[in-house]
Amino acid sequence: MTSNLTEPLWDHHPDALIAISPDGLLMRCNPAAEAMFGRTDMELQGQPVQMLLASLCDQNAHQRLEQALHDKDAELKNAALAQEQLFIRLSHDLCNPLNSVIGFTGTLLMKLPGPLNPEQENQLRIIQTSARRMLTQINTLLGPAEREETTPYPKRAEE
Amino acid sequence: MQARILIIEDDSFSRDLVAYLLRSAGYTVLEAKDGSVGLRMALQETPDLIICDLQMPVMNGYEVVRGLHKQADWRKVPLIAVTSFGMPGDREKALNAGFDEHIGKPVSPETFIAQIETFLPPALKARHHLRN
Repeated sequence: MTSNLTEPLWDHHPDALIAISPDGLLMRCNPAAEAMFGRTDMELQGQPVQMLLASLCDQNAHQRLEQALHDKDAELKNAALAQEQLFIRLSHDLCNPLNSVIGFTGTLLMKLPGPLNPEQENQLRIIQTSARRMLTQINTLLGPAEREETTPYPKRAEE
Repeated sequence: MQARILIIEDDSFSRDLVAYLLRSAGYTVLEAKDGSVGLRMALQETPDLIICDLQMPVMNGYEVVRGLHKQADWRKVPLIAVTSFGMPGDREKALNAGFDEHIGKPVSPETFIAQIETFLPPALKARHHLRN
């Protein structure tokens, strides 16, 4: 126990200090110990110290686990973001050339630059159909629905 | 008098396509290869309508709109967003940003002019409409 002389040292000591009874119960503790246990001196008095220390160990392990989960969470979010950006970039880079192919095939078929013979028209329709098919495939592969399924970080209900 | 239309698009072939369609319909076309050049041309040339890609280097379509709205003497003209990736919410995002319409690529040559012309007053519409 503390005397009046050691009282300020007890109260202001940066380390957690506890007084234990012969039967292992906490008799009193200083503010640093209160902060460590997250409970007041009054609440802690009479508690078995072994149990208090065990719960403290659990708490530390829990905190480490929380931190590890938090880190993993951030890592997955970054990966999902990188994947999303890659999909957008791919989609953009593939769609622009197809836009020109489909667009200019269209202007030719509209005969804006001049007349076409039947075989030219037939071949242009083949190009148009193939390009549209390719666009459908790109949209299927990189489209939002597919992206949602392949994202490594599924959205949680509360988000 | 037919409208003067500014195209802001970084992909040169996509720009050529839109420019070709507009010129074929009888419009005067101004071209900018990125958002920064486009913003400057929009303020200097005062076109009657602007067609703008959203994803561009240097300055994207959203930044162009913000840049235009910052100008005190900016005379409101129709702003059409043309974008290569149709993601859910793209259209809403573009309309909320201040665009009047959102057209997804691939541009349909058969309907493009008609889509654009809904935003032009009759006096500025070209006489020679595309027919198909």
